[in-house]
Amino acid sequence: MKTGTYTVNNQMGLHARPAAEIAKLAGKHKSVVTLLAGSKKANGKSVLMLTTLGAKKGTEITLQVEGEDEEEVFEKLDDMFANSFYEE
Amino acid sequence: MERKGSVVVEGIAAGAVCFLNLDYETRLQRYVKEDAEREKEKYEKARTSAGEDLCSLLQNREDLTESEVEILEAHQLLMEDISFQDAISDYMEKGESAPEAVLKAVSDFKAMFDEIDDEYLRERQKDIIDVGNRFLRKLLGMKEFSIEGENVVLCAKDIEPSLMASLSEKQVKAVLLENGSKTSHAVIIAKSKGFVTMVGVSLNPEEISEGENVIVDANQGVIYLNPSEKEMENYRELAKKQEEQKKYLAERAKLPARTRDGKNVTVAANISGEQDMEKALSLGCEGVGLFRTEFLFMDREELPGEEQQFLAYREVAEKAEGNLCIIRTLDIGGDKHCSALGLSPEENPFLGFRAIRICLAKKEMFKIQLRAIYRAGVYGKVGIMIPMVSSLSEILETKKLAEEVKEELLAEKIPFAKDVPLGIMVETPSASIMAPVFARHVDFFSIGTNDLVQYTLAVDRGNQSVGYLYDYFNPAVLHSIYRIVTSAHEAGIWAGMCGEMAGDKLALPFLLALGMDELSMSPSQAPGIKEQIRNMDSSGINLDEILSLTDAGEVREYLKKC
Repeated sequence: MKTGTYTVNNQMGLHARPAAEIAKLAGKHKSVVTLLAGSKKANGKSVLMLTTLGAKKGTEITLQVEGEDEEEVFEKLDDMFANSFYEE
Repeated sequence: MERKGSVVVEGIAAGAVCFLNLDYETRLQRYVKEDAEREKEKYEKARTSAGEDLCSLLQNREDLTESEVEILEAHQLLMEDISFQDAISDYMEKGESAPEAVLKAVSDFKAMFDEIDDEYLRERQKDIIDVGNRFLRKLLGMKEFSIEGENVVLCAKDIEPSLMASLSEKQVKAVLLENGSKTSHAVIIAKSKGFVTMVGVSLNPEEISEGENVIVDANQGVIYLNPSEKEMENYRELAKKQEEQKKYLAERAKLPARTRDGKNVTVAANISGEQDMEKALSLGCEGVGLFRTEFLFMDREELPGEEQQFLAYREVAEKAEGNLCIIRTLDIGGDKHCSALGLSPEENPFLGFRAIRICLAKKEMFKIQLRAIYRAGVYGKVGIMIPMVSSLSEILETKKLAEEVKEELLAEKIPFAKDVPLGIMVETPSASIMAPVFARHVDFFSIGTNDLVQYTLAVDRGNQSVGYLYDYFNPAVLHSIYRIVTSAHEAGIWAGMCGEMAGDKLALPFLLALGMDELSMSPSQAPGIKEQIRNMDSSGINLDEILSLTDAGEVREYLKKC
């Protein structure tokens, strides 16, 4: 399993667009993607669950990727988080 | 057969009636549940068909605004969402019918969203409700709201604002509502979309059925049911001419509004949010003269936070292409309710606790709004406008709060605009009488005619039996406006108008003769008003003569000849 921890830097938090991008990517791969924020946990393949994390700007997020293609999936998600989903 | 109604947006339309009936309740009761397997099949079918609807909506992308595309794409993702699907299947396995399962899953997710402590993200629950409703309509055999044909007259009891916003201007020509006041949110959207609109109209299926012809003459306030083919033809011709005129005006909308004698008038937009900006700009509005912020505060349980307000104001400021955007601070109370404020009912709401009076009593709330506006000023030109001012102390107190807010932002090292003009809405008799004094303390005046008329003439604008007295051409109102504008100019500040009168062509000669600097109106009115300004010579209008008239009827007659 690969894990990483990030702080949400987007002005509007983990809103519709970033959530959709995570879910789209996770949905295309076999690995199980999980995001944790505080006591909440979300399936990375579900935009809905990602949104209910309620991760606003400044929230700490832990990313877990597990499965046969975890290397590839983690690398891409890591890049998205590290660059604030290429917003602003 | 003829029917009457009250006109919201003038114009003519001739087309086929389409009834919009969203009665989920009755249909749910009639729904026949089968075994779990069958329910699942029915659900899958509904989901596929709802998905196809979205695809075909998105195929006509050029008809949609950017925000409409964004919403539809979000809906597409939700329809496929694995957690949502699992939740619905679970309920069906437990023996719920397909529609019940959808309702329960939606309500579960809604509960999760309610817990989010971020306003913006919490608001996203609207999407899941919308998607749930799309599934429900399929399951309950309700026609998805796809309108067929090009000349549709939409008829409904009431319309949700989001649905109104999604209607295509190419297909819908007129909207007839049974409920809905002239100022309801849905009606304001209809206005900005330019649909010919009347309210207080109820047509029942015995009189006219789906697809039959109807003529809506919203210049006269009359609806003709099942007219003869000849009448239809005449009105189609009229409607076509009207459309051509509209097109001609739209092409010329961006030309400046300068009178023949060289007077420039800023024609600005009245808006309720960023969603109105695209239209406002394309119709030639130069900035925003009135941004009604109360829609951010209404229909919700909690007050909007600073971030949410900041984003809303910033978006508008950014889209205004460098033009001034006047943001009116919270104008709640009177006929506008706000459950988040928990205000108690009053005997005389229009003379009671409303607008600036509430803001100054709830300073913390007011400061949050001021902070959001100053911060948004970094991204475009914004102005602050305080509503319902009736005494100087209200202006001074607001200015003091504004100073405090700026100092706080400075100390917190949050970027903000330092020079934000602060003006008032002049809409009470006391503000008009004291205009020479008030003008020395503010940066601009904007006349709100709707309230000014009601308070000056002591007429409740909603009361049918005295409604005939409500008239901005009453000389008392004209004199009041004259006083306000001259006081502003003597003090060296600009004067504008953002009430209904600003969009009335008949009032234009008077307003131009006064030297009104800005007129703010519903965007769909802007092209016509701008064209009329261009065709006018204000030097030929005799202001003294207008002001010497003693009766509203005389004023009208006089202005018609100008």
